[in-house]
Amino acid sequence: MNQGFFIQHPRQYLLAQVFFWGSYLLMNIVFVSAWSNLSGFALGIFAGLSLLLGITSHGLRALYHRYHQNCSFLQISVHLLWLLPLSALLVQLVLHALIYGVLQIAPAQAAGIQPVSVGSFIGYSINTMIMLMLWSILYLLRSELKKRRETEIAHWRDQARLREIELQFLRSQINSHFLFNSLNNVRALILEDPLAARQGLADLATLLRGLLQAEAKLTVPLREELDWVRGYLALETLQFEQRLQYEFSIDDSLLDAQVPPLLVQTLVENAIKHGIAGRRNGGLLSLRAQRLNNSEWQLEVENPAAELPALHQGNGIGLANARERLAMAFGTHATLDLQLGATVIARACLPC
Amino acid sequence: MNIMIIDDSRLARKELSGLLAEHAQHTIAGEAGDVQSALTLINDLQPELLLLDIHLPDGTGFDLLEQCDYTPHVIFTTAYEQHALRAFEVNALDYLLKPVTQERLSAALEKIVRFDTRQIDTAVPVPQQKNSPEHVFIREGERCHFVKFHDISRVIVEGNYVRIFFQSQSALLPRSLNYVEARLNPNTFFRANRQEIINLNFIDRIEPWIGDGLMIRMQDATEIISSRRQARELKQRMEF
Repeated sequence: MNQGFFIQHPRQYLLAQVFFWGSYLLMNIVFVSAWSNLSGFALGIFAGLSLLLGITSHGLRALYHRYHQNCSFLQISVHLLWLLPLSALLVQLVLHALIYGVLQIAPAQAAGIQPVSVGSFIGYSINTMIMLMLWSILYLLRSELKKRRETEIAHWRDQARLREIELQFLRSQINSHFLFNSLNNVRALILEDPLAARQGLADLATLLRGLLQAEAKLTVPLREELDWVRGYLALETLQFEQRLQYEFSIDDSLLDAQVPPLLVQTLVENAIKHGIAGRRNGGLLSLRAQRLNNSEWQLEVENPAAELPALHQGNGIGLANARERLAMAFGTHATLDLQLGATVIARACLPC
Repeated sequence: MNIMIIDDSRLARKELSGLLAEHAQHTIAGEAGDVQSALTLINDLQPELLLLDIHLPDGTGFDLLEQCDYTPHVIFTTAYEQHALRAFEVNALDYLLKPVTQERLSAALEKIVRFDTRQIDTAVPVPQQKNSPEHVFIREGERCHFVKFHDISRVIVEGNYVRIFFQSQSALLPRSLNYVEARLNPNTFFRANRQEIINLNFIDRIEPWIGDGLMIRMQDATEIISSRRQARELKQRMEF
């Protein structure tokens, strides 16, 4: 618990106090009414008691607030053993003093009020103590739960932040090699084919914009994603030239289907990095999107395996990353599998 | 210098050869796009310097160096690769980040030219390998070394390979002792017995040994026993 609790929830706390001690007041009234006639003076006593208890519990709260953080359950219990009786005694002393004072001014009100005895004083005190104990248990339980929930939230927040940093780092790692190779290729192209160089720069701009925007969105239309992929492939063609061939086979009705940003791009990048880049004569990359039924569609990226697969094996981070983005967007409704062999197929099933 | 460019991207090769065109004193011996064709070409053309990309379709630049019969000077070129370059020890040669600027390339080339002139001053060139610089590329696991010949204190057979000792380190080289002997300068290196080659500059002292042999004590306190036949040759070599 921190100071913020009081500032953030004074209203909630106030309502809880009024409700708790109000109920106690009501209970007292109902109880006494059942036994005898409730005099106005008795009502005043009960109201005073509830008010005193409200104030005392507020004081207790300040104490709990201060010490509950650093004390174990046992320590708190031990302290409650003296704190609660003492508070109860104080409450009753003040109450009795008040009653005594009022009676001095208006003795007529004494009618129907039982005289004070040591036994009755102790009885009242025990009653008060039980109420304070009940209040304390509820309060401590609630703050303990709240504390746990907050710790948990903080933990998850930290985890999420960490993962975000991780992803950003990985993304920068994954793309930097490609980025600088592309810049280098475009640089050479400026002399060889200025028009193609201009196109290359435009593709690079589209792709960079996509990368920057992708962070903010959970999903994008397939149409948009394919634009990036085409730009990406055009740039990779500068690097691989005739070694990289590709074909698209896309069901037009799926162009508005949603995919996590850069999902297709990641799969295509993997196909090149771990497949085609590892073949001296390159190969054909196929990208397919087709409807499976009314609620599902399938995306496939197929490439021939590398000649020396060990050399071009990834660490699975790209794939794990893609799976995570799928899960964030579609929960368990989307899957992603990799089928290994002479040709490698990355296959994602997504909801329409 | 005779320079060879090895990069899988034609445009990247073109970019480098464009930059090199401004250096009239250097010539481009050839270009290759993968490890296999580069190996053949290196043997044919005997370049003095490789501009070598790390990622190639059928291996890495390190794989290529390991399979070369001799080790030319190397400048690595890479787009963005910290991991591969981290593998190098302090004796790493230069590397260039793509896109390469003319200034960086000139500086790297100059460094090698300076290095070569110094080599000629201090060491007698090996006659049969006039183009090869006096160093060898060794990779052991993740660590790579360019070991200068004059830093090698001794070479010892270990199974089918040899272990090379240099600068208080050692590394395994997947070659035969005869192969290594053929490449080392015979004026400095001496075959002490069937198992070992030693660098004469690293000898601490020599003592007579049983059966007309010699016990050679190296500066790192290892003791090497030379057979009678080899001992006779050593005595001849050490005589003035």
